[in-house]
Amino acid sequence: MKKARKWIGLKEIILVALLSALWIVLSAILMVPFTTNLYLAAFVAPAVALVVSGIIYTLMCAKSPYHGTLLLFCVIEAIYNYFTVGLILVAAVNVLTGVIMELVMLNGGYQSHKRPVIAYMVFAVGWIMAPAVSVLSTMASTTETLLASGFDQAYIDSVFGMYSAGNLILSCMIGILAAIAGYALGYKLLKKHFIPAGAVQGENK
Amino acid sequence: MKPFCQADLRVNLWLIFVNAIMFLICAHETSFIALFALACLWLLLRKQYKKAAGFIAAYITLCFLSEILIGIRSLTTIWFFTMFSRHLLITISYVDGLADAHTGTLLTVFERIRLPKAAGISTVVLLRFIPTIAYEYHAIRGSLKFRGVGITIRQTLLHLPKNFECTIIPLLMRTTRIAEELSAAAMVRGVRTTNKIVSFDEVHFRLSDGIICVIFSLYAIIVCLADRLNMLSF
Repeated sequence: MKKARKWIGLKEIILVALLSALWIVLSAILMVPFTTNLYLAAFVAPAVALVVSGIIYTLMCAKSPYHGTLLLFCVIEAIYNYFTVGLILVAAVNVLTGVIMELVMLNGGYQSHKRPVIAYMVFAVGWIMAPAVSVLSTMASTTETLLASGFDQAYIDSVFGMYSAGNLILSCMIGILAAIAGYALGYKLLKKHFIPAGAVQGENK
Repeated sequence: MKPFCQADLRVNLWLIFVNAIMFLICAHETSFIALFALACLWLLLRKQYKKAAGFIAAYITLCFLSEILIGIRSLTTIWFFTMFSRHLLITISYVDGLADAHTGTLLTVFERIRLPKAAGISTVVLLRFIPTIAYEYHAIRGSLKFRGVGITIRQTLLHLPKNFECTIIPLLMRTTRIAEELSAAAMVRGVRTTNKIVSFDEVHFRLSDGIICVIFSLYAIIVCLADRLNMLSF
């Protein structure tokens, strides 16, 4: 009797790469309207992107229920961040997030209903924290620019106040709730369109 | 000696890595200007004159906007954006050549630097598919307008959830079909075999490529050291 395949194959690699590209483009477009305000960009924009792009994540887990899928998704996000904008720290955080997501999905996680949600919550935290890590790591150059322009430390503190521990925890909590909502919305659309069309197998969850 | 415009893609990858590190270490704006000058030289050596001119214009515009917006608290996010964007132009300059390289060349380069085949395939698919998303989106929106859905912006905004569902579902269906076609094409081209990949284009890391890497890296290190010793603050 043929052993069930556990690891991702060529067909799934290409599918995950395409869906990841779609996720990156859609989330970038969804975040654009919120860039005029730092607080909207930090709290609301990631939540909107996670909710609306949940269908892509749900479809990815349903069409490619093999080990390596979510790691590849995060690695592609890291490749995008590294090659397009050179953000090496963001790329490193993306890869680390992918590793943790795969650990969550070990031992039948892709056949479960709850663990993809937990993995998406982990992704939400990693995705929100990654740019904060990048901004905080370049704080020296930003501070230097502001001081050279004649601004005082109080103004500089107000600029970086957005990245205080309290704000980061709040944005992560909003991201976690958005991940749950995004997966729920994605699963609803999956049942409404993809399963009846035969694009995804109906599941016994 | 091979012309600079035909430098091995591993030179691009190395310079992206070096500049990503410099981006984290350097603090003074003059250091970034020095690194940007080197990036422009790279584009000029690769005969990308229009791109170099465009990047210089973009850098100057972003510097100008940054100076205007500094201090306006309600526009802090846009100020952050102008600051990061002009620094990221440096790294983006070295990405030139990667997106236009042949698929076989990219896969060979990734194999030579011992990256898994999955990483190479994913990168190639990512670089090639992003423009396709725009084409598929416009085709779907045209089809929806033909059926009376989302004809005007007002109608789209008033029925946003419906319009989103009518757009994203066909886009995802098309994506799964494209993935099946791509994987069939990749299998036919022998991607699944364990044999060594041989590129149609010659892939050799020559002495000239090594010299470029050394000179550019030394320059970046000198700029970084000068930055750390506060020799570039004015």
